[in-house]
Amino acid sequence: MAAKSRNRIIRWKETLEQLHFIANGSLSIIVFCVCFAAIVTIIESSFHMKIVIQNDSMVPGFAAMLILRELAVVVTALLLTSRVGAGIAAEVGTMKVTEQIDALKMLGIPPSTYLVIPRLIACTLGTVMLVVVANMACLFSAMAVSNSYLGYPPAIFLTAMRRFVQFQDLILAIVKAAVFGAVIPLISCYFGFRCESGAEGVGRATTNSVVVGSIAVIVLDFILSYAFSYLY
Amino acid sequence: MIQFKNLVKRFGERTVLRGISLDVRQGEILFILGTSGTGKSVLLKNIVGLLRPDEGEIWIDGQEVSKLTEEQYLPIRKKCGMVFQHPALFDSLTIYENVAFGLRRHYQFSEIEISSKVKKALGLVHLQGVENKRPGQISYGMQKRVSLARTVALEPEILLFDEPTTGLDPITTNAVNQLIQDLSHTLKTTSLVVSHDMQCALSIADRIVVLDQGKVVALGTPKEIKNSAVPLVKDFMAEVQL
Amino acid sequence: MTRAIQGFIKVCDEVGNAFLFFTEIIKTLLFRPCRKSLVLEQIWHVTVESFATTAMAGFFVGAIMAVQFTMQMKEFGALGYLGGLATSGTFREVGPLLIAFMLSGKIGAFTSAELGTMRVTEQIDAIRCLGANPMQEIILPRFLGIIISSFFLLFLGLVMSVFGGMFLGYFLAGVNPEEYVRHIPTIITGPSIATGLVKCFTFAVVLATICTQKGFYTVGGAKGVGRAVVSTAVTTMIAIVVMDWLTSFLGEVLLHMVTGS
Repeated sequence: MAAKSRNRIIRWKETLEQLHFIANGSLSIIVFCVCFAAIVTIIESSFHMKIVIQNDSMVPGFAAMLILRELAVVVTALLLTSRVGAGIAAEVGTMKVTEQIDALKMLGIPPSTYLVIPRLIACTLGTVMLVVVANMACLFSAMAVSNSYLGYPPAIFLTAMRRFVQFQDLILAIVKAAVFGAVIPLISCYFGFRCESGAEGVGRATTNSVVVGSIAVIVLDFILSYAFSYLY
Repeated sequence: MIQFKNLVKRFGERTVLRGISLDVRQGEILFILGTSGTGKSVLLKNIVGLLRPDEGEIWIDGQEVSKLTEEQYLPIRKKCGMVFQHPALFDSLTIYENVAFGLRRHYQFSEIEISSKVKKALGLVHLQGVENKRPGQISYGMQKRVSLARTVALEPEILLFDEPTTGLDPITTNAVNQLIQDLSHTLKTTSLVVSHDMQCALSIADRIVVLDQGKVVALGTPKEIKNSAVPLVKDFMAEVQL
Repeated sequence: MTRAIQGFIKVCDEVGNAFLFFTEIIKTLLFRPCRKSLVLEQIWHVTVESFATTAMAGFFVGAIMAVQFTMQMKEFGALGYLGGLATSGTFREVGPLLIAFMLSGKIGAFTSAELGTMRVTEQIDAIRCLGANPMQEIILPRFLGIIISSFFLLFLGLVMSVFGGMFLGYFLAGVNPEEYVRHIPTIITGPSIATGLVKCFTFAVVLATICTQKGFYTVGGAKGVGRAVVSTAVTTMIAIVVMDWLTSFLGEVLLHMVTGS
């Protein structure tokens, strides 16, 4: 067992632990947030649909489209940037400040692969899984709200949804999730490794990783949405 | 054993080491003293390649090391054991796993051999019964000793201490100093200790070197240092007499 | 089951703490107001610090919305309405939410890191020892500064989102900027802008309260500062989502009361 675990590039145990932290730890927060976001989407889009086309029959389909293409994946990614991204930056930064990174180097272990790869794999996988769950939760809560608030029963919601979205929307959401999931830990580790000494340094590294991470998510989302618009 | 030839290190505009030349002999305990910010720790980190010099050469066992790549540095780092200013224990691992960490990485030991080596290393620093605790659960002094154990478990030829007693109470300080002396003698290592504690330097060092503003201002046995006429050394001595 | 109860208690704890801290700040504001220059300094500081980030985020959010709406509008052959629809969608729901998320990362994390550092390096204790009230000297200026400047920044982000949408509309859908703008007033009405502004203000207050509170009560060295930043960002985002719902809901109720339906 010990002989096998030595010098392997991917540390599966660590990866699984990270995955548990990222996916399981963020699940309830993300489901909670996307559900609320979905409710707001329904309320608000019914508001301006009434102004534009005098009725809100298109709301379910429109909301489903917005949820699948943008809302669920972006809200999930932004939440992960602050929870997981900032967490990783703080963790790696603390290791850097307390010389644990130097200690790793002294023991002949490249800190980049040792720390980054498990987080990269775990975060990519975790984000993909979370986004699928978030989409489900989001659609369910949208369905529930349009039932109680707009008076459209689930059957109508689903029929309307079919007109606006297809299965490939979910696939593209997963592609987006994988990209965001890979970018978040890379940015955080970068800032963590460059952390300067003291409490101030850790604070700055964490802040920077959140800021750059969220900007990166939004810009990448734009690029991906633009690219995908040729696929529909 | 270790030779510095005209070592210069800059951080941006600031020159920290201004041409250090020094010979470290096999098997001796050499103390590097100086006020804060004179580049003592920087000198130490240059030996193991955590920092690289801007000018000058470092020779370890007849090999010039300052231009080696990270990869080529591994055998040198295996030879050196560094004890950091902070305990630098890995928070996520138990004490046992912390000490066993390097052993698992570098050698093909069986679990039984590792276990006996870990026990031996912890024994050398007088620690028992803490193997399954996490670094956060033991006192700072104990963490310091575990970090020593982690280093000596790899049986290095050169031991480097970066301010081993800074921030410790007098009793733990004495214990750590005693440990440095004992370890160096039992393991027959060459030891470099960065410190600003003249008292313990005088009692356990074979030779002492005093740095000021990135230069060597005094070098000699404790006896020679005691009688030195250099102002900074005199200031240090005045501290001891108190 | 016990885990759920513990979680619930923790949530109540957080909410209670935030409210207590909020009343504390209001009390300080009423009885021991701070110097105006300190507030102005904070406003300047926060605005300069986050101007570029917010503008960029707003621009891209607008662009993203325009991309999505273009596809839909093409299907219905109603590209002319793109400007109005995309702007209204951005202004009323996605825009404030996403830009507030960005700001909670930027301002929230920055402030709680700063206050946390002051706490763990005992600067806050030092202020107290010098006979000053840290609430008055440190928290209040930041609180007011953040509310004012992030309200302004959120609005700036929304304006930038219109530009983002216009830019995209022109290059992707070939909608003339003039036509894009012309359709905005037909769909965006007074209430839309009012909801947007109310949301911006609510988010600003939530953000200012949470980040100052989390930063002020940091414990445990460098690690603690990291923890404070993470928890600020997460808590703010959750609070923003809930407030987003609450303002939409109350707005809807108000509208019904006004129109009498």
